[in-house]
Amino acid sequence: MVRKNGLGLLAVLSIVVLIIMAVFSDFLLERTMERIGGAIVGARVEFNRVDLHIFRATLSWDRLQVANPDNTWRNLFETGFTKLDMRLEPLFYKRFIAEDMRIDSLLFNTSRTTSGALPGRPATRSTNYIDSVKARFERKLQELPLYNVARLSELDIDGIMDAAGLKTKQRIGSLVDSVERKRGQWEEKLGELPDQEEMARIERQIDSIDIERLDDPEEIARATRLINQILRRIDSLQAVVDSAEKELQGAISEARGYKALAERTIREDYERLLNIARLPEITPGIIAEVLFSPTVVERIHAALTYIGIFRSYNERLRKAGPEKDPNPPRLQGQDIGFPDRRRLPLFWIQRGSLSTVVQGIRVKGLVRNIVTAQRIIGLPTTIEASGTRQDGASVVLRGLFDYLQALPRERLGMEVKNVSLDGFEFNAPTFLPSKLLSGIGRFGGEVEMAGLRFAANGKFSGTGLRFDLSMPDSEDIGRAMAGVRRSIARSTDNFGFEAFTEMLRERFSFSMTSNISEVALNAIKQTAFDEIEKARKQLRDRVEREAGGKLDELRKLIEKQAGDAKKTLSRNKENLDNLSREAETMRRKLIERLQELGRKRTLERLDRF
Amino acid sequence: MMFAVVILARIFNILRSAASPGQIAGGFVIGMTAGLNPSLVISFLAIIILFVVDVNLAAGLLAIALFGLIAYLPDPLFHSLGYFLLAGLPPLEPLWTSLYNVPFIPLTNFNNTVVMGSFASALLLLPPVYFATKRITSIYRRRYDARVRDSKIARFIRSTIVYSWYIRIKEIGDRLW
Repeated sequence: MVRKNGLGLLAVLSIVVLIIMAVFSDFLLERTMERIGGAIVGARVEFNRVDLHIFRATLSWDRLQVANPDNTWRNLFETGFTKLDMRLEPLFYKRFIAEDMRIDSLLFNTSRTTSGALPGRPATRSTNYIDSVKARFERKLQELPLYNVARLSELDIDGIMDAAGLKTKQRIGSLVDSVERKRGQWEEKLGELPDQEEMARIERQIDSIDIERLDDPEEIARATRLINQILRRIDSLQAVVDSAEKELQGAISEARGYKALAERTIREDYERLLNIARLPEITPGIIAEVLFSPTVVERIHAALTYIGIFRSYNERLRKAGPEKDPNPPRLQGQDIGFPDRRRLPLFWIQRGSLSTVVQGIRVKGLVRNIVTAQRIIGLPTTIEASGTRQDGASVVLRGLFDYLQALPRERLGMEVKNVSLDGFEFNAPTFLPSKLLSGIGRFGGEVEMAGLRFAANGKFSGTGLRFDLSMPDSEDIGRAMAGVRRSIARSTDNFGFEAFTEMLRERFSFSMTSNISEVALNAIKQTAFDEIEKARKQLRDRVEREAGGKLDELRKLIEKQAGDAKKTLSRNKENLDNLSREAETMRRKLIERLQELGRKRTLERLDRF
Repeated sequence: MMFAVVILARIFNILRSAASPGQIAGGFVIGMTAGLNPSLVISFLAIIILFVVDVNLAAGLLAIALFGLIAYLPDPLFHSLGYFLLAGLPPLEPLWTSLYNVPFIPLTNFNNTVVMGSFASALLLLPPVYFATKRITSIYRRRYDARVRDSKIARFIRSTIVYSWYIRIKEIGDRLW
């Protein structure tokens, strides 16, 4: 049953395979780590010169680049030489546990020479909420008003009108049509009112009764019955008029509502035009946002990218049961996890020492518990790093990624003090030159996410600031805005800002204050205020011209209809009142006549006796 | 040079040995198991069995090559079967958990859906493929072997220099062993 010859050949083959593995294992391991890393991050993960020593239980590489999935021409971070000291025994259970990791030179947001986009199937990232937070901040930036005064005089009103898709003309036109239709209904209603002929007929009936000629009680009784009929008829006609009057009141209120609606439509269209034209509101709060929010949002965006990667990976691992991947890569399948009786996670770096450079300051620190399942070890992932330079500049970095509870929590913070701002550049400023020649600054901030709640705060203050005024302004700024920039840059050598922002589902708040807002405000007012107000007036006039004719037409139509109907109704009421009074008078006279006849007959009978 | 020839002769000897229909079928199904499975560890174990057990090595190597080429095609089926076995059958979970906690076993990637699915498929196919291969081998030897030996293709192959070298090495092997 056992082939003895085969044992020898097997031994030879095994030696050959071991030699090949020894030669190529590092290459295979490097490819495997890049594949797994890419699946986690959603962008390229590239290792250089991976070196695995099984018997010494060490793993090292010369360089690691992790591309930014949101900007694949930059890295989220890259490392220099890195060495991990692993525990050997867990490797036999396919568990990767490193007690210690040493990273030389950790750098953030470095540029790449090749694109970091993954070819083929991208990693699935389920952090839609974090993407929506990022999108909300992008929208915030887009909503910032344009402060390009040079453009205000060339405002393309027609273009803005086309883009706005104004509703004024159409809506007021349809209101006019509604009122016209109601006029038709009204005229029908007014047609039901008693006309002059009927009133005259009733009057003639009343006048036809000649009291003096009525000698017979029967005749008086007949006349009385006629008057009663007339009175009932008048009552029913009055009821018709009263109901018509009530309806008229309702119709007048409705018509007045149309007027208010038309005016509101005009206001809304005007605001829509303002949004498109992005004419600036000139308030200190807005000025601070325009000055500094792009810089703040850029930092928030970067923090959210890191949080997004951690959270999306944690979400995938936390799922209660293994959901079937409907379309895994060919020949790779899906790994199903089972409980580990030794309570070891699949991957765990217990302690890592890192060093990096922030703002020219060497920073050293520790990252603890980079792990696939925090709940197994009962500890969150933390980052603590700090550095101080001889000139007093200092940096403190803090991070927490806590997925121990059902609600995920992340917090990233940084504090930089007394750092040189030589060459510092603001992101897309409008009122300030973008680059500083010199200055001393301190800045810091914290980004925190707990479940769906996002909050961030940041502050910056700089002293002894000198702006680089030699840099040419971009072409579309115009002389007026360039003048505003220079005026602000020269008027102060220290400024700061503070920003607070919060978001929970749809609720979003963002506020900024800056001590430079008043300075900027005055500079803008001197230069741009008139231009801005002129542009507003142009837009307002244009809207009213579009709507004006129709609005007047609507107003006149409503007033005329209401007026005509009121006149008709009051005329009817008056006539009916008169007829009613005449009929009542006639009835009274008939009763008196009857009484008089009765007395006469009694006297005549008495006389005969 | 002589050493290399001796090694080659030994290899051919082994390849030609164990030539009964049952041994050929046995080698073929073991090769099928290795060829279908993407796990290097399981494939390597199957190859060890091929060398150690007295089955036809050539048939095994042929099966590895053949099924290795077509394993890509039923991959979604292996994934579904593997997922069903690993996650869809609660009574089996204690077994998988125990295996997961045995040293070296996790290195086989048995908890991967395609590895489990292809292994299970190979086990399911083992009896029919074994008996079919055995039957086909017997029928071939009885009815077609002589015809194939006398065919134009066979005569052409026998006229090539590669074949003449094969014959020389075979004779060396026969003399040595």
